[in-house]
Amino acid sequence: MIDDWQCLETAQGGDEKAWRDLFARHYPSLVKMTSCITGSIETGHDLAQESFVRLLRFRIRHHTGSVTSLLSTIAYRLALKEKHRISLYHRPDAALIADGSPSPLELAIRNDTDRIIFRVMQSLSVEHREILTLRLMSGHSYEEIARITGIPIGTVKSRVFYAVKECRQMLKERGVFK
Amino acid sequence: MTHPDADTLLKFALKTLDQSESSSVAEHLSVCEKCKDLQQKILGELARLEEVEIHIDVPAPPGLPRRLRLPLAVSRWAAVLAIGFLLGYMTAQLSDPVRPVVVQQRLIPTRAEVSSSGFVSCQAIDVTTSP
Ligand SMILES: [Zn+2]
Repeated sequence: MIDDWQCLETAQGGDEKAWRDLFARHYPSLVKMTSCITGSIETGHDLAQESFVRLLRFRIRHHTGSVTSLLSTIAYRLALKEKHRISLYHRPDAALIADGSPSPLELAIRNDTDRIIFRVMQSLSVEHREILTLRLMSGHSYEEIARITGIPIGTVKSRVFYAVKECRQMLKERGVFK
Repeated sequence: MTHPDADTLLKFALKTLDQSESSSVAEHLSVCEKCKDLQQKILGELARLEEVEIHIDVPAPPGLPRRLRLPLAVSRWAAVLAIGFLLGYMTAQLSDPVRPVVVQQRLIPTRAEVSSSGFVSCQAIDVTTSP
């Protein structure tokens, strides 16, 4: 398998196959991240697609970090902007809790236990949920999360700790964890 | 033997402890079955949290820009702008120029009648002027 950076450079040079490979490799986890952060699978897809458009135009100066990390940084910033825009006129989460019916994002989770875990994660505070999403859904290291979000690494670690602690507690109460 | 508390074990599993704390917990786990079991349980739960599956339909990737064409996003914005200008132009052509109508509202007391509670009753009238 060609290294991600090489793949990106080849794609930027106009190679369709390299572009498709790179997309297939990173799109699924990216869209999960953007969907979880914005609370909408539709918005998640829009932002993930836009991130790839921007990745294509990204001027590569050095190969520090990973392409995954770069994509997440682009997507995370787009997601924050979008979330701010949405929150100006409505709150999808509030609407969801109000009528109790599953959101399209929840319907995309087929396993019942997975859905309980997801709901628990979504019920965390925004700060905790975002960091936990980057850690668990995207599998980024603490250093990467600090770079992506611009949040100090100590804060990142403590947020992951409190987020996981809270999740475990809630999942015990719901009988998912013993 | 002092066992590390639950929070410390969780931090150890999350790898958020500093070097010295981490090695003392590791040392303890190598000799304490009870804590080792707890640690295994935590690691299992963490793995479970990571396993949440969201079904994603992967669409086609955004197209690569052709050499002689503007990059995709640029051409898309250009299209949006062009349509915007066209619509604006058509709207301007189709509708008559709108003359401004000035609407003012003034509050004029009918009678300076002060009630016992101290309110003055007023009547609102529209003063509309057309050029
Ligand atoms: Zn012990």
